[in-house]
Amino acid sequence: MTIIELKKTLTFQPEIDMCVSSCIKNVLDSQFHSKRYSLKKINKCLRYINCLGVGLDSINNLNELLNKDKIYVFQKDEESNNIKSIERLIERKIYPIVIFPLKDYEKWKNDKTRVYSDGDENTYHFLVVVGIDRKDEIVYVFDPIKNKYRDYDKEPYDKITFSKFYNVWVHEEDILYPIIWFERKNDNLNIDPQQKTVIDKFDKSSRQVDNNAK
Amino acid sequence: MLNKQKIEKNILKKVKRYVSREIGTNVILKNPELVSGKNTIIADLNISKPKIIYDDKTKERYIKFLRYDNVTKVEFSLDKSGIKMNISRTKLSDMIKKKEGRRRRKIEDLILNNIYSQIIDISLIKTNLRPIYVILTEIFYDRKLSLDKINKYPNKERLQKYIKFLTDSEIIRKNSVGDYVQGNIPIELQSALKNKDEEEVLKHTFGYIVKEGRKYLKEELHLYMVESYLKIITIYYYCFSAEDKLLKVDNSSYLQEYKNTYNTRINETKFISYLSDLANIGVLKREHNLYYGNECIKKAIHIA
Repeated sequence: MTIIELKKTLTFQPEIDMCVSSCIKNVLDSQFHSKRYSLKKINKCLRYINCLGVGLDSINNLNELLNKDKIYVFQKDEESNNIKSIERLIERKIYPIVIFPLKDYEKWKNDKTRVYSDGDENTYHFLVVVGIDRKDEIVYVFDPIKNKYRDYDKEPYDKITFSKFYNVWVHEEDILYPIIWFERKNDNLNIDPQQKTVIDKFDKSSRQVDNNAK
Repeated sequence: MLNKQKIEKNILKKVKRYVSREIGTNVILKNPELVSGKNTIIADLNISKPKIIYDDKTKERYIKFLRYDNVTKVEFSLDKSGIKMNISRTKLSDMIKKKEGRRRRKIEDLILNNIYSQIIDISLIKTNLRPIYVILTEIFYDRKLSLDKINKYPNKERLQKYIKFLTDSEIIRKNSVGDYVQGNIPIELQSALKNKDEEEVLKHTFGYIVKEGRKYLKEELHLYMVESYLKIITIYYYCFSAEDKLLKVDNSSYLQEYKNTYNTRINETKFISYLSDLANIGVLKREHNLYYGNECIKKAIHIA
């Protein structure tokens, strides 16, 4: 079993649609030990607007903020995504961020949470994966929605079985939601040639990174 | 034909992806239509805004989605450079905020329709609307408010403003000698409320003024007390009621939601005393330090 602990001071989302920025903040704080990136700065970069949330492509804008520290964002949005893809990142001490539909929250959350949904909602919920237990087939995640009745000192992470994880991770036509992660350029950046990151398509600076990696 | 359908399906897929990738994931695309001969799609945008609430008694958590349909009609045009939407995200967000405000005001109106005769039992509201109450009691119990009395009133100008409001609302009218007497509304209320005594009619007349004159009382007479209570009640039914549930919430959860929704400040002690007043008249219910809603009001809002 591999668990990479997040920093003790966890950032919980102050608004329901700030899960993206809160996950990113936790990852940047823990993976790069950097306090430079406030939630405010991250939200600004993501073009967060209350009511609308964040468009998934705006995650690529983070490169503008992070390039100074040679940190880059990656998204893997492929049919070949699976728990093994997540595990490989965890083994390299990289926190993968995964996306679930918010309407499926009660399917994996083992607490007293009920969702009232009419099935039409698109809202995503972002989670940080902190560990994988292949023997017991469990994924450990940090959920940035704080439950005011939970003792996070005792139980900071949620456990999701592999089967449940796949069940909520799949969206249209059996394709899994993307995996997002961050890497520093100096950290032996090794990009799978098959892997198409969304940044390749949209961001000039990321194209440069990809070329360097090749 | 088949090819055309395939192209249309492909364009639609691209626009749907664009919405979640570029606009935001709380946005739902509805009724998309391809404009013939153009690479343009016109569609309605719905919003589904999630909200987390707690039942402080059972310690259960609920995620509900506040849904706003037909926020606006938008046009997506596709060309080689990509997809463009004809309104900005900022403008869309403003539209949603307006829609949220309108939804809350509608709930406020529906609530007021159901509780106006009870809310005037709150002593702070009575005090706030005292000049109106004074005029009404004169007219109900002394049968008239004489010109002589009006002239002796210390703040005559202010009193005249209330009299004008009550006259325009047909609560009172001027008789042939210049005194003020009961107008059409109390007479109609009296006949509608058969077997009710004068005090009951006075109470309903007062409630009627609060309901029908709400905007005027706030904007022109600057009497805000009804608004303050109404907003506190509305928060409950807007935020803490969910389909089959009337959640039990403590003071601090209630206060936090009030502050967040109305983006306003209020002293905590004052807020708790308002909650207590509302529980005393039965608009909210109380169980130790927990507050919850009234099933009848919830139903009335739901039906409307």
